[in-house]
Amino acid sequence: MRFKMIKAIIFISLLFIFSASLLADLLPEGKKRIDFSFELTNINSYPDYTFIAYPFNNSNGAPDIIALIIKDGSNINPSCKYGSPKILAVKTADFDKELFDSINSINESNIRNIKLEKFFSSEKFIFSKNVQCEAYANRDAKYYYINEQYSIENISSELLAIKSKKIIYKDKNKNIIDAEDSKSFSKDDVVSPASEVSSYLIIIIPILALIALITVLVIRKMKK
Amino acid sequence: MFEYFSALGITIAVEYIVYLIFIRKKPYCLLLYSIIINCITHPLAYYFYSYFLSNTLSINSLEINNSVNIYFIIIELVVFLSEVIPIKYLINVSYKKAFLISFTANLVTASLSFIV
Repeated sequence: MRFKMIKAIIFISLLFIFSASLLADLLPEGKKRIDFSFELTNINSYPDYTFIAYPFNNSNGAPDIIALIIKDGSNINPSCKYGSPKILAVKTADFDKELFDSINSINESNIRNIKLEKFFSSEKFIFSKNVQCEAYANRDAKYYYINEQYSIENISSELLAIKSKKIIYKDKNKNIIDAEDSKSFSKDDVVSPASEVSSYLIIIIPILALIALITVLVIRKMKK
Repeated sequence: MFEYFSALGITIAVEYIVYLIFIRKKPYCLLLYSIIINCITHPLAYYFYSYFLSNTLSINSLEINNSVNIYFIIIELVVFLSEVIPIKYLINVSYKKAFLISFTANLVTASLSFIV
């Protein structure tokens, strides 16, 4: 009986530990994976500013977060698996490109991640709302590629206002099959589930483990 | 996220093997103890490691590796010492043996972190 209980606890613990990472790779029911890209169409209208996409996931496997300088008309193609990037604006005169490049080139992704987070916490950087990254579409949808075109509306000291102008849908052969004008501002902030869950789990896992430890010791003492 | 849980999984597995080498009985209990002990220390070590690293931004990138190594050693030492007590009480061994198990387990996992 005790042996079975221990096996069950081990199974549940392992399931708990690995479920989050396994879930990240599952395709939602009735969905297919699509390729999402976006571009900023009027960067040249703001010559004093540098625009950056962050956090930009460079990988379809384990997350590999970098920050990317956006150039006029360049197509930004994030992996949407672990959330959506924001667009950041910084006055080019205030932008320490050397430090930015040195952080961005750190090989160890965890360290790079932490350094980038700290780097962008400076007041010099003005954040937009998240670009709404689309990773999935209904399985019967005709499109496989989405390209969303944003324009910069306004840069104040607190917010970079970007507006979604057009969404272009493309088929398997990258032929445009549909394009729709967008009238709304970029959708509300979508906090990456990965970052939200990880900070939450870093607190909850030790608490649960501590409870398990005390339980094991108490059960053992009661049996004596 | 995936990276973190992979690291936690590997740590649990490796420390379990070390416990098994030292104790050589009750393998399922040892696995449970490895899960419990590492689920207490690993997330906290990860948090503090991240916290210390976030405070080194002003350091030139060429010096980052030195800071990483210092924090890594400090955190590994704290983890090694803090695992002695749960190992002693969960596995029911003397302090000396718990100390040895904890030292070996953390030495192996710390060394592996440079490879994996």
